[in-house]
Amino acid sequence: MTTQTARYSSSNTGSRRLPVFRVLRVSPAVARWLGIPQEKIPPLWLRALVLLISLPLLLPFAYVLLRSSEVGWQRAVSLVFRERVWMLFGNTVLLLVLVTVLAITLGTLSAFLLQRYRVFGASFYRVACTLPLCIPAFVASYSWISLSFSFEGLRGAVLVMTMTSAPLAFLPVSAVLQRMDRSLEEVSFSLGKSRAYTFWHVTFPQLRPALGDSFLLIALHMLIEFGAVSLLNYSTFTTAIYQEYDMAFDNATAALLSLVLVVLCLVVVGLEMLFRGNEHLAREGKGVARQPAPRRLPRPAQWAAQGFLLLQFVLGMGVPLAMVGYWIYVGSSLQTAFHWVEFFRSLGLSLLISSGGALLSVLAAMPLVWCVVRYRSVLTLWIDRLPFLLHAMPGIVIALALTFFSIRYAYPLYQTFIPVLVAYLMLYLPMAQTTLGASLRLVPSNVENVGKSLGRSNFFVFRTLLVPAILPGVTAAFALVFLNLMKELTATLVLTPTSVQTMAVSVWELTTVGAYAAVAPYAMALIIFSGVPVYLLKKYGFN
Amino acid sequence: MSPALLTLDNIQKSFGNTRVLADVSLQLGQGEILFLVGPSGCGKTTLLRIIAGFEVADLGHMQIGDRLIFDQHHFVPPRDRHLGYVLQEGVLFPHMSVYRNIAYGLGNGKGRTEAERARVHEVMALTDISELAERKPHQISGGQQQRVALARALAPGPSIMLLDEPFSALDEHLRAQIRDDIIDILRRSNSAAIIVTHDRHEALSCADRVGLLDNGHLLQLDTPENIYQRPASPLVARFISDNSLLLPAELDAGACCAQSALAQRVPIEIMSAQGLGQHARTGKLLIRADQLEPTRVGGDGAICSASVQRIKFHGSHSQVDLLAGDTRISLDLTGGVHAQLRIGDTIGLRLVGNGLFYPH
Repeated sequence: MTTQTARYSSSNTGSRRLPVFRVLRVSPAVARWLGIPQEKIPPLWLRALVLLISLPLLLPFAYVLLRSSEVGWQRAVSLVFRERVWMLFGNTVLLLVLVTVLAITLGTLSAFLLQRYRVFGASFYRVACTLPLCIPAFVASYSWISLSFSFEGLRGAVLVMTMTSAPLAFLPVSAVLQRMDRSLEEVSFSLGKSRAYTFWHVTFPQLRPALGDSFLLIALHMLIEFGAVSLLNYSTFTTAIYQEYDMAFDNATAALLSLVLVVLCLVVVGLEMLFRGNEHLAREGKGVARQPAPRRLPRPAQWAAQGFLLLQFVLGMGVPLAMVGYWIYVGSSLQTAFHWVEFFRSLGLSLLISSGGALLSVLAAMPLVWCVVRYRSVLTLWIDRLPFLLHAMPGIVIALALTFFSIRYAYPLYQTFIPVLVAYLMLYLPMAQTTLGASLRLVPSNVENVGKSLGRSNFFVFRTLLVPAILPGVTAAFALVFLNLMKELTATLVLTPTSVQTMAVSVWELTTVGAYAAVAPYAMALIIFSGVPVYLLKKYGFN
Repeated sequence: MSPALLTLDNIQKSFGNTRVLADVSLQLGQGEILFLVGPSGCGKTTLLRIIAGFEVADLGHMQIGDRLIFDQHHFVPPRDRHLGYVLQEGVLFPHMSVYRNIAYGLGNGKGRTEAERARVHEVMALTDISELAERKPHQISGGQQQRVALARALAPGPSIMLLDEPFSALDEHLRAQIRDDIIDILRRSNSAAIIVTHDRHEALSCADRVGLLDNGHLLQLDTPENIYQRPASPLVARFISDNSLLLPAELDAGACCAQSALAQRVPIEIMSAQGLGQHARTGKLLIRADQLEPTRVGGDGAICSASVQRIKFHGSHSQVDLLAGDTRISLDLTGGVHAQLRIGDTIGLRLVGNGLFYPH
């Protein structure tokens, strides 16, 4: 049946008419090499639409390459290979390594403690370990720096970034531990293996994909994070790029630093792919995975676990919340620098452009996801990987690229909301894509075939069978993107006119001028808005 | 008699307030295949996990050969018990090839030395999976996965194999064949084994001895013939065969016959460890359906008469449903006997051997 459909569609599509689209087909040998089981090519209109959506995604790459080549070889080399760039490189990599290692260790340790041992207050800690996701990194930075300036520099950056990143390891690792069948470990014990041997040879391989995901997320986050490190006065590539841009809009150094940063990001993505490997880790056989009974902790270990988890809670949640509360309660700049009118204007603006960006992202994601789920070709293969490539593109570079192209080729659009929305699309298309894809994959293609066999038109089938089935996915995607855009800082900061201030931009600007109390209401609002996607993620993402 | 390979004395286990095992004692001999059978939730899997060391009993005493592995003060962890453990779904390590799975329990677990390689190939040949060595678990069928799991457990040469419902994840048509193969492999490798199953036919047809568990009590531990022909209690009788008749009955004066609603005088044997003694003269009478043969009404040795309700032809045999008074009887008849019967006929029934009488 599949073979027939595939042959039918490949001989009947319009690929012979337009040479451009012929490129998107592969010979059977190549397909086998790429791991495509059976070529199934999307119809022409869908391919055209997908290309149309994907083209703007290439702009940042185009910007980096175009500007760098304009600079010329010799100057480029002298700009890249100088002491300042090495310093930035060292700073960035140091932060990346320290935070990634610490956050993954912290998250994995907490997940094991809470999943495998009887810890007093476990259900509280389980929530507490995910909650730091509610606090945008730059809000956490603000709270620590408003506590003491001694948190400036590497120390504070590692502290803040580790605490905000730990949930990204905790959640996937506990999900895997929860799914894992205890029988695997029991079989290993019955074959005479020790606990340590069993952990490294049976348990750890099951955790590897989850750890790989966490590594990718956290490491990339360190490379592209701007707000938090900039508030803590720690120079990385992103802060340096912003400074260069601030000095001169059309800046060669900014472009070259972007190039280095993009290469770094691609290296991280590549490492992750190597680390994950190509292993099949699904549980074999029927039946339900059985959970190991949590083991008792001896008293000293119980105290140590309590101390560890409590400290984590205080550092991750306690201090930021306490500081925001403190400034709201005692702040002196609340009367002078904070104005309700401005607060509501920036809230309204944030709501408006966030919902616009979310709508655009979800609409653009739909044909892409459709293509990937229902068809198989080189095109769909690349669309499937697009999120990973886009993940590697820092927001600051996207923003610079859009500024550059709008000034050069579309001046009327410069400093309007159109580039902002396009930037939002690039930043959050991956998120919309994965959320939508998950729900569309649950709809078997036979549902559509049954609909068609009952004499219904394509549109009727789409309207009555598919839309209701994927509606929850669409809603979830919209909500996730929307709420994440509420706290988007970097691209907004670069692309909007200085008079226009969203919530995130207000936090950043008021913190840089030291009006800590005036920041507090904005920070509070952002924490609340960020809490909702954490709830949604808990509910849909990691079950 | 050589000392038992495995000895369990008075094993008790509760989860919270629920008693799961009450005073279970058993012994396993060299090369013996013991089936533990019982309805779901009877504690058979818990008993197996206690033997393997994955659950800890509350009370009791266990030893392997002369070696104490559990009592109030001792607990040998699973990895030092050297038992083979096979589960329902096989539970192969998904990230390792078949070869690595089997080599896991040998030496450093990689199977690189000459001796390990030879041992892996030996058990692969024994379980007939030699050609699968390089495959991953998800690339082989359910029956093959089960063979790999068996090979993995056999590789370190354990003295005892523990198998928890090893066949129930398999498809019906595959099941009988894999089961026979695995029993053959166990016998060829001269392993003693305890196999947990909920399938009594499986237990009766494959075991050396069968242990019947119900509600945490080991009701009977005996050969399949004895379990079937001389069940220790009405409970055992009811579990082991659907077609047996269990009737309220009363002993005659001589205590050699019993009378019940079905028949006036049925020759019996009294099933009671303490003899009859002070027991009441009432109890349960057990007659297995295969002890009954059709004959003429009032003919030689007929104990009762019954009317034919339904005849179902199954090829090698026919099932004939009868009604005797209020009692329904279902007989499996071979050899074309059913051809002489018509629905509505009244026939006599003759008893082969004795009924069993269980005093209250």
